Amino acid sequence: MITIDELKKLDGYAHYMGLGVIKYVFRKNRAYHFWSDLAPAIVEDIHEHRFGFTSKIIKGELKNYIYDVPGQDPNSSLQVERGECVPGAERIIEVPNANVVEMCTFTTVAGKSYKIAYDTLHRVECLTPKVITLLDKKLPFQQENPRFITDADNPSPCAFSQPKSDKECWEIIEYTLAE
Amino acid sequence: MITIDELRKIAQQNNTVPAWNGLGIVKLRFAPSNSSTGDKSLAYHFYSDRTEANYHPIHDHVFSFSSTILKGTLQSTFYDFAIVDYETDYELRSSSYHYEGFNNEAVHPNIELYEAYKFNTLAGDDYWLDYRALHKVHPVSPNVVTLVNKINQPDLSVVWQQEQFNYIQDKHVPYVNTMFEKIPPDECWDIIEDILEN
Repeated sequence: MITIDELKKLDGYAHYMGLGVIKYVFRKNRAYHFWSDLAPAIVEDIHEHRFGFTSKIIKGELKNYIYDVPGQDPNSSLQVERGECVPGAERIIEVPNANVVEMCTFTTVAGKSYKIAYDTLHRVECLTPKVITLLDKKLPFQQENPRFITDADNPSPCAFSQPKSDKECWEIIEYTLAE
Repeated sequence: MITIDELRKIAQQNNTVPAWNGLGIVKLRFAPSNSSTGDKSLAYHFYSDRTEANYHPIHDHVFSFSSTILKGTLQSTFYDFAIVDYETDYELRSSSYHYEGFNNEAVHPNIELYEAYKFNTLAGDDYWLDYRALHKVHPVSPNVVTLVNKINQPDLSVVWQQEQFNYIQDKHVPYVNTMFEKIPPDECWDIIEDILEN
């Protein structure tokens, strides 16, 4: 397991993302992700990414839920939005009343990896109290404006609307690394 | 791990024998012990170099299912495609079980295919997938055993969720009906025993 001192030597930067994770980004295309009860999720929208990636589980167990949108359902309040994931970004509603279908679930344990393309809609759930992953992004980014599944009747806050300080992020990282 | 004797007993109770499927699996289909219908909605799947596929297209299913890995490691790769109006290497076809050529028809004659996601499942893990998920599986370890559960009805039976399954045909690879070339049941039992012991 990597130590806090080794992490700091990687010369990256840590930030909190409202999906419930502290991200420590380094070397442009790599990031450690730290999940714990000290970094609760304020938004759990299904989403895709700007890049394909491989994620290796360093600690704990992570469950993935994969989704597709085969069409519309007039009774659904879910919608497919497309846009940047930055505070205040305008997003377009690509599919209103979206029929969102769960396509697959799988669990990945410590020591193992999974791979996801940039345009795969997913969300993750931690099956253990603490989870650490190492993400390898495929560069260059394959799209600028990824899709998000949101609920028109119950909009989520922006994932970056409640930032944590650098000090808070490092405290959470240290907590997540500890036994 | 289940034993060969327990498997033979299950086969006897269900009046069935293991069968090889050209996707590279020996399957033993059976009904849950408390089933009122006798519908064979469960199956043990066995993979080894002796069950090698004769044809292994990317495919979906006529029902959603969960799979628990009992031995070894299985890799699942999932795909998406884009329909295009120029000639490509792949087409999406639709087919039904049982009959050579029956309703085997082109759905989209030209598609661009790409990998969507990939994961390994290890002994003790399970995964679930929707009947519409286009995928293929590949044993990563020499011997793999899984328990597949297709139950989607309160009476423990399974109802097909689409009439036909879809598969991706590589236009450079001849089509083979995976249901028709058979390994005799005695040889299937021998393969199963081999997989359980190694």
